[in-house]
Amino acid sequence: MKSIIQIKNLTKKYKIEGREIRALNNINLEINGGSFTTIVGKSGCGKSTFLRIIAGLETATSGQIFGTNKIKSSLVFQEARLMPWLTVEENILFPLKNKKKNKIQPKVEEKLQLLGLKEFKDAYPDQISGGMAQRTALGRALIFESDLILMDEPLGSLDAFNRYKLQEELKNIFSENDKTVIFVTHDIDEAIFLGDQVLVMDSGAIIEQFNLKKELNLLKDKEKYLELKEEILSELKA
Amino acid sequence: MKLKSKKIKALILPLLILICWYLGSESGFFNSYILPSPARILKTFLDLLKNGLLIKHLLVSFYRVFVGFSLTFVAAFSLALLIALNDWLTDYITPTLEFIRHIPPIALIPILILWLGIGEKPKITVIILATFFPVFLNTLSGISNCDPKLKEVGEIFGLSKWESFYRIILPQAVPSIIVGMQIALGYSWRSLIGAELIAASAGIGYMIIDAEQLSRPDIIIVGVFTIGIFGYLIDYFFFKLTQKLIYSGGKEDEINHSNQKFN
Repeated sequence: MKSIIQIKNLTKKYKIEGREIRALNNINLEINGGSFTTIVGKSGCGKSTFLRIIAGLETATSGQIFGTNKIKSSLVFQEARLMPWLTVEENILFPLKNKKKNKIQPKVEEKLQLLGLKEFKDAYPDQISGGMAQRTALGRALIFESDLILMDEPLGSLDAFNRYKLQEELKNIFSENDKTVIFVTHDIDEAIFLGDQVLVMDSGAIIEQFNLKKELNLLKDKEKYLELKEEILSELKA
Repeated sequence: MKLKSKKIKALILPLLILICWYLGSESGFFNSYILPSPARILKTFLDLLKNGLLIKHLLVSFYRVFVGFSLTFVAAFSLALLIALNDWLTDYITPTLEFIRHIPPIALIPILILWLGIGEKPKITVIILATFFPVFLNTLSGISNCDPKLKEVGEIFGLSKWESFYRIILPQAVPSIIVGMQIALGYSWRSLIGAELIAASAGIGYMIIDAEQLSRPDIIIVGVFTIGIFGYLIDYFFFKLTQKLIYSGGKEDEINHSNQKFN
């Protein structure tokens, strides 16, 4: 697999009331095309900032990111951030500029089907549950057809049942296509379940990197799974 | 059933007042010169309707509201847009606007007559002055308080500045703009009657002041009722007309009934 994004010495500093805070501290990373990278860490460790800089919503203080200008990227936020005046279907269509009906209709139908939103396509955001709203946000990111999808704790605000269900669905969706995903979470189980590569972040730095691609049986091998979870947890505690 | 009972509830108080009024007039408790009986009012109303005077005055007033309100909307909306999209202008313009906002338009009528004569212009100007601020301030707050989280969604999907404006900022400001227009409509109706009371040769306000000089309390009361009823109707039809434009984020209690959660 070829690396499509290279991140070199990325640092982000904030000034809060005269005090300098380092949100990101000299991050170096390569992301391979088609991979599913999860970033796990405590809240405030800089993982969201990292994602927002990759997405172009914030700028880094120093360091460079190569590759993102050559590819299309999209971001799924922790909150669904749907347009309240648009229906589920219209929200999914939001990123498309060319709205020729015969061209986009099959695409939107496919997303509605994929995410189980068919029955709710005419509902407005305040009429649907948090899980449905997040599915809609996911549909919106998928229809944009970006090569890179960034996700900032997209399941963080969902109840356990909806979270498990969407984790399964995400795994299915992204194992079948060649999109590159960077997924931020504070949930270690979620990070292990979804990622082929798990990055552990603390105090603005990547402190450990686990490659799970070769360990296909990890999810079936409970002992190994728990071992890995323990390891990540001890990294975060240290 | 629920709606019906609501309508009945609304009618109870007016009906009670009408009964007291009728009984007081019939028994001679009220001086008919000061407060004519309901029957007399009804007769005067029908007379005014028949000879076309009421309709004529009403149309004149409506026309003024329509013209004044349309001009206001164009001016206030454009200025709000200009300021909302160019932050730096705020400091230059807002203090002056705040000064003007505190002057009741009616207080300007004498000078408006000096400047603009006694024709339509001063009345329409009064309406513009009375309605400008609700439209302006609500449009301004609707546009400048756009949720930055939604604007970020536009950034993520590569929307240009203009696209972001008409696809995110403007639609989310619609409820606020409509509320401003609704308040302004009420203001325009009230301030117009005030202007017509002071200087006019036609319009509902003129009809009332003319009736005072002719010692016709019945016509005054018909005029007052007409103002109240038409103010209510304008508001109602404007609401019906714009309700479809307001997503439920705006007027929550009105759209609550469709608020059931799917799961």
